[in-house]
Amino acid sequence: MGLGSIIFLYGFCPAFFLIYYLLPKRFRNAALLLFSLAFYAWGDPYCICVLIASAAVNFLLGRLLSGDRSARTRKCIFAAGCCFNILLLGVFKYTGFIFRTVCSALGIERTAPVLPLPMGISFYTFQAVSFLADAYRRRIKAGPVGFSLYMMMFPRVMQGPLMRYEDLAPQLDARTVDAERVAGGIFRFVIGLAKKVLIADVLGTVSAGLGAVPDTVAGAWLGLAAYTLQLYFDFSGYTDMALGLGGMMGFTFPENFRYPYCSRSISDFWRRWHITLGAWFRDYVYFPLGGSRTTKPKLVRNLLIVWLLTGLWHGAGWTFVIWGLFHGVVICIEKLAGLEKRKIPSGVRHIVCMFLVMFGWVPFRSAGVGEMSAYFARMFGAGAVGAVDSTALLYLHDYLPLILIAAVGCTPLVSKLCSRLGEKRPALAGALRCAATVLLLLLCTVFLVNSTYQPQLYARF
Amino acid sequence: MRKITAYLTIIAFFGILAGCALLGIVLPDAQSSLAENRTLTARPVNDLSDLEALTENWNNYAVDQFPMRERLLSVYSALELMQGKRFSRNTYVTSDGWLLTFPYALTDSSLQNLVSALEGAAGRTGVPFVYALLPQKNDMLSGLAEPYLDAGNTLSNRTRLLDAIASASGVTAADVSGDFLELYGEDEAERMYFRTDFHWNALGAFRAAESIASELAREGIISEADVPREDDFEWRDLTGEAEYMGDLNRRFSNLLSTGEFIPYYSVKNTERIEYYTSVDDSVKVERSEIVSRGLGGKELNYNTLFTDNLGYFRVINPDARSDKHVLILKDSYQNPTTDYFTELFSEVDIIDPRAYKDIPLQELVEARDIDAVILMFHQENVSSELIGFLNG
Repeated sequence: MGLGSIIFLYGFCPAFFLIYYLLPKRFRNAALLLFSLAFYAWGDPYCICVLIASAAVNFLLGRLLSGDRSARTRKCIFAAGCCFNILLLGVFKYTGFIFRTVCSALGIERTAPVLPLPMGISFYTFQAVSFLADAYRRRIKAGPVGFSLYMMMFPRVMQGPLMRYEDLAPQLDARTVDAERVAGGIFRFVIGLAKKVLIADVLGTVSAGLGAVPDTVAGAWLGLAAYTLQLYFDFSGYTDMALGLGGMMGFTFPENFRYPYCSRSISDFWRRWHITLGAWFRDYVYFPLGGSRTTKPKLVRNLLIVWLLTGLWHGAGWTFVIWGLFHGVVICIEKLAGLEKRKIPSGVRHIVCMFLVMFGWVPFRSAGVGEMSAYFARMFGAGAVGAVDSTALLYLHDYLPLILIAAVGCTPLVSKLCSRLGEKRPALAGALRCAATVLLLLLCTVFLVNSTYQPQLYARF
Repeated sequence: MRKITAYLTIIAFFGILAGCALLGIVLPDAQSSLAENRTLTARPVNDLSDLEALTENWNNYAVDQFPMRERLLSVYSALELMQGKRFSRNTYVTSDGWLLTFPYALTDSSLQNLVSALEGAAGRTGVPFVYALLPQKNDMLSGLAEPYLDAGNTLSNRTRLLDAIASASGVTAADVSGDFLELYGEDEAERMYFRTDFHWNALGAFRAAESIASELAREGIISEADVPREDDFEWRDLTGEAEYMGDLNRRFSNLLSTGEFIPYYSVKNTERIEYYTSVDDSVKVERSEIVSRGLGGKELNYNTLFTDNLGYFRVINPDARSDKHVLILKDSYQNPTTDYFTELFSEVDIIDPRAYKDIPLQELVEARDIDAVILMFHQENVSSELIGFLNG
């Protein structure tokens, strides 16, 4: 069940919030946990066992870590916890990739075993590692319901945002639910829904319609532009929905995006794109490796390790390794050459950054290295049947207005205008927000019943 | 004020969610979608042996049975058309409101299977086979959707299908598509096809039937004098008398204009013509049950204006021009030509292989004493059902 599906919107959502608001505060966490389990079971009925097992093992390890034990014992428990989580993720996500790679290296032809990929496993495993690391360092304690919610809470279980247990724990004990907060959450949720349903899914028809490798140069660039926007609106839309649902329940989750396509360098981009994942790698991999306060060769090593892992986290395939390392190499160059501090016109910085980001999305979206190479070649005319064809022209005609709207939506322009209106005419701004909420919800419903809904792109990671 | 708008937002949001959820529970389930031309998902049976399929079925059910879904589809179509999109609901929409379908390329394997099935059937039955390539709407009018529609597939389909049929021994190709391309420009073609339908109108079908009859005369199956001409039929212009609900317009909830040019022809004297839906004489039916069922009504569509896609029916006309007895294997493009062939042949058996599985071809040809078999399919349709029927 996706957050933007009809069954969630018109079945799960009213049922959950009716019960949630009617229940006394002390029962709300339990209700939230039960509904979260139901939510997960609906989307992935068999792999819920993996989630529950992961939560149970990590909870017990966390209990052991928070107890009064010797440093050596605690270290062993922490190492065991890390191994368990890496093994869990490795078995379900990387078995096929490792098998194919080994077979290919040995020249053996064998069919790779196919294991189900549990929904959100990359996210909840990272949450678990974060919890164990913090328990190891600071001896944090968690109750069973609180920890289960940390791992399984339905708005976050599929795609985050990732957060530390310490940031969630106080909200589990005390959180305020008032009308303004709930209305703010609703507005945020509906904006996220609209980003996903009205923009990302529609642009998805362009990138998919032009094919894995479009026939023409124009098709390749148009497909890439559409995919670039689709990915942002899809994932940031999901985050808005998660934050909105959290707000409706009284939670505050961390932001995950800050206008990433307005970045002026790749380093800047990663401070704005999937912020919580970047923070996780920074806190639990980059800093422990030595961070940036080290020699240049070690800095390069640390960065490349982080970006190799970032690539692999996103998917079990060589294209994701290439994508991760591409970003790692560019960030190394930026850091070593001090490009962020040099006087380069911001327009030039922005254009170069956007081209690099878009180039990066080519391996990210490709099913294999061959497809990626063909796509790059097509973008520059190699193997293309021409500069433009009827399909590219058709998509350009039909979707250019939406692409332009989406491009504007990637900037803080609309948000700034709304803030200014809110300062000058708060009553009007409030009424417009209310009207926009209703209108966008109805519009999304029209699109959803037309069966254009597609599962979130990031859900597959 | 902030609190008021906050409360309004909450009430509106949860009101819409809960209201639609309740309506979904209260309202009876819809059986099918007109706009999508498909059966809608029924309430799933809670079979716990396959949980993934169960949740998937409930997801589909929730979408398919959403309250007032058909109206919401109509709103979606209106939004698409308002944006001036040129391709929506798998259909090209021209600036003049013409609707064209996506051109698919015929596969080599399907062509090979057709050739081998045709050769086998012609050899087994021992009667002449004439395969008429009928010009599909895209063939004649893809220029209307330029530069967004690539007519390459459509044009290559014709030559590839023609080459394939020409290579089949015992089968003659009647290249009606070629005749149309040679004789009619786009302006004339516009008068021969429905604007919002997949099909041609009576005028286009009549010209095609003439072309087929001429080919039959060239092949010696009928004489040149037997070929019926325009004034052998009664012609009417139904434009303005009824709304035409094109099957492609239905995809857009009939939001495009239903005021189509509707030419219509019929045989002049129907008194002695007999219609049967059985191979023997057991099921005799009225002409009005088979031909032009909707004539005189306020709404017409392709099926009610001409003949429906029945699996089998046959027509006997003692006053026909030729005493020959033919079997027509066809798709829906044949429907408006029924009266033409009724005028031409004393007996016509018509089979739509999509809906007919009863008697094998060879047995039928022998039992009904068939003189020739005419295949009438539009050129993008190399149907597996036809191949199956030919293979017996």
